[in-house]
This record gives sequence, structure tokens and C-alpha cells, in this order.
Amino acid sequence: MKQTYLTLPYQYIADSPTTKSYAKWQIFEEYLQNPRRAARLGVNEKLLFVKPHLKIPTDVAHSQQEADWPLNIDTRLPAFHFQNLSTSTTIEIRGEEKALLIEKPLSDTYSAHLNIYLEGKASATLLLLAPEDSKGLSTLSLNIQTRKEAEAKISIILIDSPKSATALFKATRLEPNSTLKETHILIPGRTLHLESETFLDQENATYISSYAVATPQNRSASIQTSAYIKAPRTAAEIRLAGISHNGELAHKGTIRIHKGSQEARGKLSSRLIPLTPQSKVYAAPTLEIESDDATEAQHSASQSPLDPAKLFYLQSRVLTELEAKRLLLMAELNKVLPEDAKREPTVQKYLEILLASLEINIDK
Amino acid sequence: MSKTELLESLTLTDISLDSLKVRPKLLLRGRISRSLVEELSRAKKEPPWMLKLRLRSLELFEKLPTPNWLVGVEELDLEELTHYIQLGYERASSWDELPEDIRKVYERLGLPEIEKRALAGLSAQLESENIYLAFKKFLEEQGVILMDMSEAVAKYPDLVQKYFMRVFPPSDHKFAALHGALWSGGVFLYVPPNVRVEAPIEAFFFIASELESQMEHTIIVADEGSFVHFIEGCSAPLFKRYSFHNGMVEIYAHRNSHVKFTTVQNWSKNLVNFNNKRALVEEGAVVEWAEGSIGSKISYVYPSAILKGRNARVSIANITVAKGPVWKDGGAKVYHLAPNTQSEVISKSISSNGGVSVYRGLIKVARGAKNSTASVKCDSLIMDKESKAFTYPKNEVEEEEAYVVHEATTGRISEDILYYLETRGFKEQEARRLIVLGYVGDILGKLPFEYKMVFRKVLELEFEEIGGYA
Amino acid sequence: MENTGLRIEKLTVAVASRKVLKDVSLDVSKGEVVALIGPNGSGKTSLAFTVMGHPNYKVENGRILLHGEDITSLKPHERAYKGIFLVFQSPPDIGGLPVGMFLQEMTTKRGIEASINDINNALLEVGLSDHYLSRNLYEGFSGGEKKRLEFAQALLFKPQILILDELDSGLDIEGVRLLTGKTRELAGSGVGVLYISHNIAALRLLRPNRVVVMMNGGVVAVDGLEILDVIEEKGYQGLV
Repeated sequence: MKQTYLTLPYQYIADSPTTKSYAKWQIFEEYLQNPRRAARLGVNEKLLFVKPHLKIPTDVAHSQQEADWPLNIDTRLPAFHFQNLSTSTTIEIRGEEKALLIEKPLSDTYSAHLNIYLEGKASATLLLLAPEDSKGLSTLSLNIQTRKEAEAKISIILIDSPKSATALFKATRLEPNSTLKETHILIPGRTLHLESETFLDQENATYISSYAVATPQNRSASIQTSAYIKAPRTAAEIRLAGISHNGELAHKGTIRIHKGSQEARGKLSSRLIPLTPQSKVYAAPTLEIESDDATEAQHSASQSPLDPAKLFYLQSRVLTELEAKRLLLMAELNKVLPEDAKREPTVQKYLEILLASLEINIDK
Repeated sequence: MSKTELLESLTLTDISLDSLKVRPKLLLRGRISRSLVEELSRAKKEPPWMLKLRLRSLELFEKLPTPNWLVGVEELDLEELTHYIQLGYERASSWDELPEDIRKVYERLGLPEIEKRALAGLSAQLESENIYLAFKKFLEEQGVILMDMSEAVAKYPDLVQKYFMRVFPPSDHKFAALHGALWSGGVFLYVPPNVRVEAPIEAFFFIASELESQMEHTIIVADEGSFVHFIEGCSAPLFKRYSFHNGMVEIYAHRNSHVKFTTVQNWSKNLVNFNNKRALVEEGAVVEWAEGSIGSKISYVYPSAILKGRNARVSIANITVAKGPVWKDGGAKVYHLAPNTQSEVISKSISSNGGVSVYRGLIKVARGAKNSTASVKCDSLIMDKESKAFTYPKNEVEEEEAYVVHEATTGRISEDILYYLETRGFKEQEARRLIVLGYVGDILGKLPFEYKMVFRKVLELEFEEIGGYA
Repeated sequence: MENTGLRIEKLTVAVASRKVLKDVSLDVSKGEVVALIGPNGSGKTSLAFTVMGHPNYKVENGRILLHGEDITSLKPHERAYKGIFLVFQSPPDIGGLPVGMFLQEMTTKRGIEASINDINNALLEVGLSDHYLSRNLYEGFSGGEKKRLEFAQALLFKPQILILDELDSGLDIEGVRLLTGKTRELAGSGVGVLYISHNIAALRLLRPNRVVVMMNGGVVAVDGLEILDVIEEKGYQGLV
């Protein structure tokens, strides 16, 4: 196996106040120094509330399609990933709903690539549910494209085990007049590094991306979400709600609007809730706007505990302190989801699991 | 000045979003010799500790990594830089030497003759004007020390040594080290305990020449319970011969003191401006930074505060104008290190005619800084297709009982408001001007009265020729 | 001693070391409507929050009894469970929490079986349509809508003691008539009501059994409706 990735740095520019990455590269380095392809993969059946149409690699191991990747591969982790691919699959969803299960390695590394093409009213749910005792690293790349006029939806549910790790790279492109709504429900293992880059370079495309993230004790997540707008009448909105209970959570979000994007709208919001003194939450929202074409470009970030006035109100309505906390946290998570996702029972179920993973059992 | 001409012709409009990711490292030409630094110190008759500091800074300068985040400055000629430090004159020596556009602005601003001459650096007479003398005497009677930095180093060496480059050590970054080695000029201001100096100290008219140098070092020490308002700079455009400015301001606000520091900067467009500004805020003390930046070609200024004691507060207000092919990089950094600390940052920028305004901020709340609140509002107004605004804040919170909020909006002149004003009889040009003034309104309010008036006028003049806007 | 109802005995309460209630005593018996009035800052809302067990309000002296039981050290949800319901002056908005879901949770916890119909009826009773069920709690609600929904909660809750903190402020005249009427009905069915208000006209509609006047954290007068006339004519200063 080629190991040229070891010559590349983990990030373009060394850590400095301006370019701090917050990702826990050292955890990935443990796997990259002694790379071994995972022999056994599995899934946590208890968390599977959706019947998958396709299991990767079980159903596709024999096929190898080309990994389409629109971005430069010049940093270590993506380079490792693409040099280590076990499977590369293409999935086309036309006007229907499909659930895909991506199995997770019990130990060592498993790397998979998916090209996903969405047409019409297509909906894809990706499930990564690690078995409780797994300690492997999964790296996953998703090349997502919505076809013209599509009204597509993607849900990504990642529930890692305490000792596993995941790196997820997404490159998304929207064709003219298409809409893509994304819902992410993420519980990292030791660490999760997610890089999502979305390109709206065709007219009239709309992108709404929601993230609900929890980082319990000893777990961390660095979530990088970027939307690049290069065409008129496009809109991008990225919303993240993250809760840290003794873990670390960093959200770096970028909205970039190029010249020529008349009537474009870009919005980024980050709501991070630290629940204990040991919790760490970092927000770095970025706006890069070129010219006065955009109609709206804004971002907001807030890091603060749950509002005591709201907690008291709920307690005065017979809820115990713990119940009030949970209800309020659920409300914060639901705030970032698009309307239709809120109503889906599976989404709500996974949110309950997310909340439970924080193990907020003890009233302080 | 070939370097100056080069700077003036730099088209920052070449900077596109795609090219932002990686920038080449700054190239340093020439060297700064140890003997130059020793000579400098000797000429100023400095005590041994100061020479030591300079030499240590020089060593650090040579060791520290060269920044790769600078834009528009590909190389720095160290020998040309030290040229001015040795010569010791930085202003125009005759009215005719002033660039045409600056002379015109002075006319339009309608300043009194004597101020015009002071601004042009032609008159040393100002320092002997009665009104200023009377104020100086009043300050002396209160025990306030206000003098140029070199004089303070000679007269009060122990006091100055207590503070010189303590909150901003030369090891911080390469330009801080450069500053430590070559600094010259600047002001030392010490306010004794419980003394309140109600009238603002307008440094420009007191110690004009001292604030003119390339690497001036200003220290403000407010002892317990004192109050002082220091104003540096002026709104009218200033011409400087040198093309690279690397100043430093350190503020030490002791327990329960209150320091207001206002900077208004409108330097000619041949300048690259670095300004290292930091305040150390002790228990119960308040520091207010207000910055109005109109001129210079490329500037990097990030007023910062370390909230060291409980209940310490800081407020940072910036107005930045990036008109024409300029790169204005600014922001604010606040470190909450104690409980009940508060910070408020408001930054408003205006980019037009291809200007780029950049906001970089950091709010760091350390564990244990319980009940701290930080709020940041940074807005950018982009006036036309050619201009840009980039916002890069970072909020790092390691304390659960802290409240940090950040909001940023980048927008353009609202068409609805334009239309409304036009229906009230304002021509488009006038309407735009009104909107721009309204946009910076609340920050303008933080500037002292006369500065507010001149700043407004300058803004109006700047935006008079918006023209050509379709 | 009447064992039914709310008894506030010589309460002295401080918020962050500042005394907000000084030696306050007040009784609200079953079926009684007691009006609590006083200028801004007199301690009316502080009293309401103290009875509800708000953590910032520290009881330095005195106690609170419900049906003879000392509840002074009970947590807010325990007091709610025992039947004390507070209609907040400014309820917080909790985005992401749909009204319908919240009402169901609340009634279940209270041990009341409320069907969708019951919930809908409660909304209709206060003049709100059922489309409020899918809205997020108080997000974007006008002042009047907030008051109505607070009251709908009270109806569903079936409280023993109902504390209304400025129910009438922000409510239009129709709303005031409607809700004061319903308050009287609740009292008629045995609920003890503490009605905090500034609105003399609303108080006249309410016809409370007693009017308690507070100023500067203490009770300065207890009287019948006639005291409202004095206040209307001479202001609160007229009582001093």
C-alpha cells in the first residue's frame, strides 16, 4: 500500500491563532502509523431503527467504481483515506427513499467512498452505528450531487462507540433549481473529524444543513462546514446545535459568497451548550463576502449554558430539574432541524439517543 | 521612494477569495545589526536594562518565524526601515512637500491655521501655546507623569521598567520583537491613585513629534482608582515619509481604575501599519478602546485586553474604512481569566472602491472565569461590486457558566432606505452619505466631541466621490 | 387556623443579599380571590417567585404553608405537583418546543389525563385556535397571546392555588373580560387565587374578596374594594 500520505501535513498552515484547526490529529495518527485494513465489520443492531436497503461493504464488496472527488487531496487524512479505500460505490436515487448502512470496523481501519446522485424527490439516510466494543477508525468520503430540479434530502446518523474514531469528508454540488436539506445527528467516539464542503455554483439552488452533535466525556468532535456560493439566487443555511458534557466540541463554519451572486443568501448559526466545568466548546464562524451582490450574509454563534429562567419555568410546570434540562436540550436540538425532519419519528428517536449518550443523570 | 511608489500601485483587487488559502512567506531583505541597536541606545542615553531588552528583542526577531499571513507585503527591506530611525525626522518639512490630496483635505476641513501647520509638522510652536501649557502644569500638580518615552526612561527608570513590554513581550511575534529592538518615541503616562483627569489628554497636540515615529511605544499606567482619557492621532490625513509603521501601546489598568484610549488614524496611502495594542485589566477596572481607522494602505491592528482580575471590563469599538485598493485587517482579542468579567466588542467596517476589510477576533474564556459575559457584534458594509469583507471570529469557551454571543452581518446599502431618503428630497449621493454616517453612528458616539466632528467630516469627504455607482 | 389554602407567614426574602420582601404575611383560602397590588418594585413578583421556589430568592425568615404543610424548602416541581400554578408575567420563549407536546408532558406529569380534545378545548376557552399547538412555545407570540396560553395551561393544570402575575397587562379589553371571568369561575370551583395587578379596571371586573397592598417589599394595607378608589384618586402615596 502506497504511503505517500505520510509526507503531507494534517493541515495547510501550522496552528496559529488564525488557522487553528481544533481537530485531534494525534488520535488519527495512531491509526495511520500502523495502518491495517479491518478484518471484521459490524453494526450496533440495537440502534438500527431503519431497515437498510443496502449494506456497505456486505452488498457491494465485489464492485469497485471510480471514486469521484472534486477537491484537491493535499492533506494527510484525506490522502490516507483515498489510498486506503476498500470500497467505492455509486448510488443513484430517483424520487424514492433509500437507507444505506455503512458498517464500522471493530478494530483497525476501514475506508469507503460513496458517490451519491439524487434526482427528483430523493431521500437518502446513511447510518453509521458502531458496535459497542469497536475501536476501529472509519474514514468515509461522500461525493453528493443533486440533479436539476431535485428536492433532495440526506440524513446522516453517526453513533460511534467510546473507543472508535471517524473521519468524514463530504463534497456536495447542487445543480440549478435544486434543493438539498441535510440532517446530521452525530455522537463521536474518541473523536470525529468532519469536513463538509458544499458548492452552489448554479443558479437557484438552495442548501439547508442541520447538525445536532453531542460530545460526552472523553469524546471530541471537530466539525467543519463550508458553503461556497458562486451563482445568483442561491441560498445556503448551516445550523448547528451542539451539547458538550465533559467533552470537546469545535465548529468551524464558513460562508463564502463570490462576486456575481446576485440575490444570494448565506447564513450560519452555531449554538454550543457546555453542561459542566470540564466541557469545552469552540466556535469559529467565518464570512467571506466579495462584492455587494448578496442579499443576506450573516452568522451568529453563542456559547452559554441553558437559560436558568427557562429551566425555572419548566420546573414550575412540574418537571424535575433533570427533566427540565432534557426538555430544553431537546428544544435546542430541534430548533436547528428543518420542519419535516422534526416530524419524523426516526429522527426524534435518534435525538433521544443523542441526549442519552450525554449521561446527564446527576442533578448538579 | 521606490518602495512607496510600489505600495501605491499595488492592486489589492487581485486578491480573490480563492487565493486566500495559502500566502507566501514574507521575505526580509537586509539585516539589522547589533551595533545599530547599541548605537541607538547609546544616543538616547538609555540605562543598561533597556539596552538589554533591545538586544534580546533583536535575537528574538531573528529567531521567530516569519509570518505567512500578511497580504500585500511580500518583502520588507530592513535597511530602508532603519534609515528613518537613524534620521529622526518623519514629517514633511515644507507645505509643498505634502501630497496634493492631503493639502486639499486640510483646506476642505476648514481647520484653524495653527492646527493646519501643526498637522503638517511645520510648527513646533504648538507646544508652547498657552492653553496647552496650562493643562500641562495642572497635570504636574496632580502628580501625573506625562512625557515622551525616552525622557521617562531616563527620569523614572524603575517605574518604566516595571511596565515596559510586560503585557506585550517581544517574544509574542516577530513584529513585537522588531519593535522591542528599534522602538523610539512614544509617550509614558502615569496617573497616581485616585486621581481623575477629566479632560482628555490629546497627545497629538502635546507631544506631536514623539508620536510620529515609526515604532513609537506608548505606556499608560492608571494606578488604583484613577481615571484618564488618552487620545492618540487625529482625523485629518497625515503624511509620513516612512512606509512601515510598527507601534505599540500597553495599558495597565490597576484595581478599580478606568482608562479610555481613543485612536483616530488617517495616514496617507503609502503606509503599512502594524499596531500592537494590549491592555492588562485588574480587578474592578475598566478599559475602553475606541479606534477609528481611515487611512493607510495595509493595516493590522487588534486592540486586546487581558481581563485578569474579577469584575474587570473592556469595551472595544472599531470603525474601519477601506476605501480604494487597501487591506484593513483589524479586530479584537479578549482573554477572560477571572470571574464576572465582561467584554463588549463592536466593529463596523465599510469597504468601497475595491477595499478589503477583515475582522479577526478572539474571545477566550478560561476555566474558572465564572459568570463572564462576552458579546461581539461585527458588521461590514460593502458599497460596490469590487469591495470585500471577511470576518474571522473565534470563540473558545472552557467555562460552563459563561455567556458568549457573537453576531456578524455583512451587507450593502439597503435599497429601501435609499429610496425612502430620496422620497424625502435627498439626492442619491447625499442619501448614501447619510446612511454611511448612520451606520457608524453608535461608535462615532464614543469618540470625543471634536474628534467626532472632524471624523464625520472626513468620512463625508471620503464618500463624496462614490459616483459611478450604477 | 384554616388548614386549606396558601399561608405566607412573615416572609423575609433576599436576592443576591438585597432584601426584596420584608416580613410579608398573606393568606389565600380555597375559593378566595385575593388581589395583590402595589407600585413597580414593591415585591409582588418577588413574592410570586418565592412561593414558586425560584432558586435566586432566598428565604431568610418565615415560611410558606400549603394546606397546613410547610413547603418552604420544596423544589419548584414539587410545589407544582402539590397544585401551585404560577402564570408568569413574562414567560420565556422556548424555541424548538411545540406547544402541544409541552402541554401533554405537563399534564401527564401532573397526573392528569388530558386528551387532545381537552387540550383543544382549553385553547378555545381562552380564545386561541388549535393551530397554536404546532407553534413553538411562545416563539413570536404577542403579549396577549402569551397571557392567553398561560391561562390555558392553568385550566388544564387544575391547580389548588393559582397565582396570576399581571395577567391583564398586554391583553386587550375583550381578553381581560374573558380571563377575569374565568378566574372567578375557577375560584367558584374552590381554587384559591392570588391576582397580582396594576390595572384598576380589571380589578373592578374581578371583584376580589380582599385587596392587599405592598410597597417597598412589605404589606402596607389590607382592605376591601374601596381601597381601589383611594388609589385611583390619590395614587399609592395616598395610602401612606
